[in-house]
Amino acid sequence: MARPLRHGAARPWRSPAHGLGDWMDRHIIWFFILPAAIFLLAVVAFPVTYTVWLSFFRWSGSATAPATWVGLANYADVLALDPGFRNALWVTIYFTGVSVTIEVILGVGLAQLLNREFIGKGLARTLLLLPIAGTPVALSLVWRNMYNPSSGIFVWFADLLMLPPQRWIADANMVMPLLILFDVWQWTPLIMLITLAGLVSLPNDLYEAAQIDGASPWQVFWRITIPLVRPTIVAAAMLRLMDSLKTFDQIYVTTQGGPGIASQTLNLYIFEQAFQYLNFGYASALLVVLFFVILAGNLVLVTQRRGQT
Amino acid sequence: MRRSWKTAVLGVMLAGVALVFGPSPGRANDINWRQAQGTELRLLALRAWFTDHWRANLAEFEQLTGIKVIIEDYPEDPFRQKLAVEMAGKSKNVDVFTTGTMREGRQFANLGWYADLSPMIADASLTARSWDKDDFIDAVWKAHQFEGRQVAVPIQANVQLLYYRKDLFDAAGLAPPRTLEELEAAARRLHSPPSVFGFVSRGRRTQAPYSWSHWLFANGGSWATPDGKPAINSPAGIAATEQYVRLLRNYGDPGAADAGPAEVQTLFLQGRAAMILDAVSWAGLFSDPARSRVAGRWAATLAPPGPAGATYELWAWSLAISPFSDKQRAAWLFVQWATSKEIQRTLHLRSFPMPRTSLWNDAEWRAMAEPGFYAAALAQVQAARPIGHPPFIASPEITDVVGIAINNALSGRNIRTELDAAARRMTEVIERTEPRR
Amino acid sequence: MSAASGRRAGRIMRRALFYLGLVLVLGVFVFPFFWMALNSFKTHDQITEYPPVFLFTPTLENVRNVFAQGQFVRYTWNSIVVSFGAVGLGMLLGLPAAYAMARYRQRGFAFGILVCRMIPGIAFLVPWFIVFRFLGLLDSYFGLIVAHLVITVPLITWIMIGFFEELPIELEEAARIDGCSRAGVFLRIALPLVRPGLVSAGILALIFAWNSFLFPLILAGVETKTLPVLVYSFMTFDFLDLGGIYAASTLITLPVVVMVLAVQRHFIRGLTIGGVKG
Repeated sequence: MARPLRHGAARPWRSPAHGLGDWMDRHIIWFFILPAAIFLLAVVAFPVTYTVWLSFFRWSGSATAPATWVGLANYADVLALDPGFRNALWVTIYFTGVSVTIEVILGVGLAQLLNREFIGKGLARTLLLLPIAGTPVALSLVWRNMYNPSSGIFVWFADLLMLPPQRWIADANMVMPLLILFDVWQWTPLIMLITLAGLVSLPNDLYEAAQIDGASPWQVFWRITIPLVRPTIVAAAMLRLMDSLKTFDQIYVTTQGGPGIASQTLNLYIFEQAFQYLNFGYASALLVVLFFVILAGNLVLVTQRRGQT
Repeated sequence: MRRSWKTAVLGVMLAGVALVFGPSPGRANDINWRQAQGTELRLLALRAWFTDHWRANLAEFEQLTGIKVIIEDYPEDPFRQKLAVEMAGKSKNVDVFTTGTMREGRQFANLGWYADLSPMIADASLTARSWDKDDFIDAVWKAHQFEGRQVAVPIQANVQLLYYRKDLFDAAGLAPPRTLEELEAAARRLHSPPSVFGFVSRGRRTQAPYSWSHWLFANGGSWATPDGKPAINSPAGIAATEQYVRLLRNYGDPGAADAGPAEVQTLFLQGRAAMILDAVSWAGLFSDPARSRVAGRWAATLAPPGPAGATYELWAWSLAISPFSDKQRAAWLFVQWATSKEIQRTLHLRSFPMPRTSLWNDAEWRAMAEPGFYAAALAQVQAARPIGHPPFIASPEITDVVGIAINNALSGRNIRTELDAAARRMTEVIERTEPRR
Repeated sequence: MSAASGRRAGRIMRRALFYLGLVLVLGVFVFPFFWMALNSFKTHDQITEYPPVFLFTPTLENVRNVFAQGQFVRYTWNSIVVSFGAVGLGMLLGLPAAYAMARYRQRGFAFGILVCRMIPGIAFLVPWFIVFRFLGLLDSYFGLIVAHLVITVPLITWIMIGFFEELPIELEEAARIDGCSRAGVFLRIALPLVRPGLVSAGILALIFAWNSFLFPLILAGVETKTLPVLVYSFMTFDFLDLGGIYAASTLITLPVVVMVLAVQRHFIRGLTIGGVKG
C-alpha cells in the first residue's frame, strides 16, 4: 500500500551528495509557482496601481497642466449614481445576467442531448466549435449587418413570417435582446462543450441503478446528473461570467453602445469616458468599480460550487 | 546708348526664354526642401480618401525632401483612441496627425496637444511662398486658430448640401426645396417605404448633433448663450428638434436611430433615399457609375434655410503637428506638401471640396462641375462657419449629451423633457471643464 | 404485434425528430459563417440589396483587394508569432504553477491568478503604453507577447488545475519511492498524462490570444499589427467597403478556425478526460 504523501513529510531515499537537489526538490512548489506569480504581479501591478492612483485625480492627459487631486470625488460621483453610470450598470447586469443564464441552461441542455451515440457526432462537435473560434470583431460586423433594419437578413426572415416591420438594431427596446442573442449564439457552445466533457466522465452504473429503481429520465437528469456535474457547470459559468462582464469588441462594433445609450455597458462607458472625453481620472474610478462588480459576481458563483453532494 | 538698349532687349528676351523653358517657378525654388533629409516621420491619420491620396503620392514627397513618412491610419473610433493614448502618454512616436478642430480643437488646444504652427509659418526659410497661406478660405483658416495660435492646416472644406433625386422630383412635379418646410413637404410626397425613404439623415447619438445643428441655427437657436449657458432647450432648440425628429420618424429609414455618415451615404448610393443633407465631398462618389446606382439622377442645392434664415455648418479635417515631436520642422515640410495647391487641386478636381479660394475659381473645375452643384457648393463654402459643434472645451462630451436627447426623442420620448435634461447635464459638464470666467 | 411496431414507429419518430433538431441547431450556429463567406464573393451592391441575394455570380475582387492591401501575409505572420508565443510562454509559466497549486492545494494562489483575469483590458492600455514606451517595447513582438500573456497564463493555469487534480496520486507516489525528484514526477509522469488537457487549454488560450483586438491596436505599430486589426482597413468614417469587410472577416477568421478544427478531436478528448472542475 502506498503511504499518503504528506507535504514535505515523506522523503525518498537519496545519497547525501544530492544535498542541493534535495533542497530544491523540497521547495519545488515555489519554483513551480513563483515564475507565473512573479510575472503576473510584475505585469499587472503597475497598471493596477496606476489606475487606482489615477482614480483620485482629475486628469485629461494635458501636456502642460498637472493632474488635479480630487480625493474621493470621482467615487462620490459614481456612487451618487451619475446617470451614465446608473444606465451602464443596469445594462451590464441585464446583459450578463440574461445571457449567461441562457447560455448555461441551453449549454447544459444541449450537452445532455448530445451525450449519446449518433451519426455525425464528430462533425457536430466540430461545427459547434466555430462560434467560439471566430474572431469577435469580424463576427460582430457580420451580425451588425444581419441586424440592419433596411437590408439585413433578419428583416427578410421577419417578412417571410409576415411579422410587422421592426427597427431591429436601431430600436432602443430591441437592441439588448438582439445583443444577447448574438452572445448566446457565440458562447453557448463553450458551456456545452465543457459540460459535455463533465457528463461523459460520469460513471454509468449510477444510471443503471436509477433505471432499475424506475426513475424517469427527467428525474435521473435532475436528481443525479446535475448534482454530479455541478462543479463543472459552475466552473464554466464562472469563466463565462468574467468574460461577459468584460465584453467589449462585440458591443462596440455592433452598436457602439447605441441607440443612444441603450446598450452601453460599463466597459463601453469607461471606454468612452477615457478615450472620447479624456476623463481619465473618472474612468479609472469606474474601472475600480467594475473590477469589484466582476469580483463580486465570481465570489457568488464560487459559493455555488459545492452544492449538496 | 544703342548697344545698352539692344542688350536690354536681349536680356529681356533671354529672361523670357528662361521663364518659359527654365525650371517652373513652383515649389521647388522657394525654400530648401531638403533641409531635413534623412528624417523619418510618423503620421497617425484618419482612414479616409485624403490619407489614401497622400499614401499614393508619398514617393513624390520623398524625392522632394529626402524624408521618409510612415502612415498609420484607422477609422474614426480606433483612431481617436490611439491618438488619445499616444498624446496622454506624451509619446514622441507621432509627429503629424489628422484632427477635426471643429469638434476637438478647443479640447486639444487646452491640453496642449497641438504644436504652435505660427512661428514656422512666419519662418521664410521653412515656409514656401508658393504654399500661399493667404489662398486658404478665411473662415476655414481661422477655424484652426485658438488663442491667437495657428494649430492646424485644413485639408478640406466640407459643407452639407441638400442632395436630392432629380428623377423622383421631376416625376412628381416637385421643385427642389428652398425652405425647411418645402423639404418636409417633399419628403412626405416622396416617402414610399421600403423602396424609397423621403429624407435620410444621421440619428446615431454621436453623429446626430452635427446634422441637427442645421435645424438648430436655421430656427434661430444656438448651442449656448453669449455668457456660456446652454441654449439647446430654448424654444428655437425645441422647434428644431421637433422638426428634425419628425422628419426622421415619419419620412426616414427604419435604421435612423443607428445611422451615421456611412449608413446615410449607402442608402443614397443604393437609390433608397430621396433626399439627404450631407457632405459635399460625396458628390464624386455619387456620380461614379461603378459604385453608385444614382449616377446622373441626382442634383444638389443649398441647404434649405429656416425661419431664421440661411445657415451653413463647416467641417474640415486638418493636419496638426505633435508638440512632443522632435522633428517638427520636418513635419511642417510634410504638412505643406500635403496641403499644397498641387495636391489639393488634384483632389478638388475629383470633387473633394478644398479650402483654397483659388481652387474654387479654377477654370478647369468650373467647367467640370455641374452648374447647380457648383453654385450651391461655392455659396455655402464661402459662407460656412464652424457652428456644427458646441463651442466648449468638452465639445465631444457635450455633443454626446445632446445626441442622447435627440436619440431618445427619436425613440418617441418627450422632446422638452429630453432637452431640459440635456441642458442640465451640459451645465454640469461646462462647470466641470470650462475655466472660470 | 401492433404494439411492438407502434413502439418501433415511435422510436423512429423520436430519432427523426432528434436529427431534425440537430440539423436545425447546427444550422443556427453555422449560418453566420456561411453568410460571411457568401458575402465575401458579392459586390457591394449585391450585399446591400434587399431582399438578400442568395444566387449570384461570385466575384473574387474582394478577396483580391484584401491581398492587394499588401499587409495580409505580414499581419497573419504577426498574429502567428504573437499568439503562439503567448501560448508557448504561457504554458511554460502556467503548467508548473497549475501542477503545484493542484498538488499542494494552494487555492489562494489559484484565485489570485484568476483575479488577474478579472481586470478589464482597458485598465492596461495607458499604463502599459507608458511603460512600454519607456522600455522601447512598443511595436515589438516581445512587448505584444508579454501583453498577451496576461490573457493566456491565467486561462491555462486555471484550466490545468482541474486536470492535474484528476490525476491519481498513486502513480506519482510510486515514482517518488523509486527515487524520482518532484520535478521529474512533474515532467515525466504528470505532464504526459494530461496531454489531452494541455491541448484543450492551449487551443482555448490560442483562440483568445489570436482574437484579441484592443491590445494590438494600442501597443502594436506598423510592424507588428495583427490580423483582427486588418478588418478596419476597409472602413472609413463615411464609407464601408462591405465586400472588403466581409472578405477580410472571412480571411481573418479562417486561420484560427482551421487551426482549431485541425486539433478539435484532441480538444474535445481533452475536455472529456479531465473535465474542467476549476
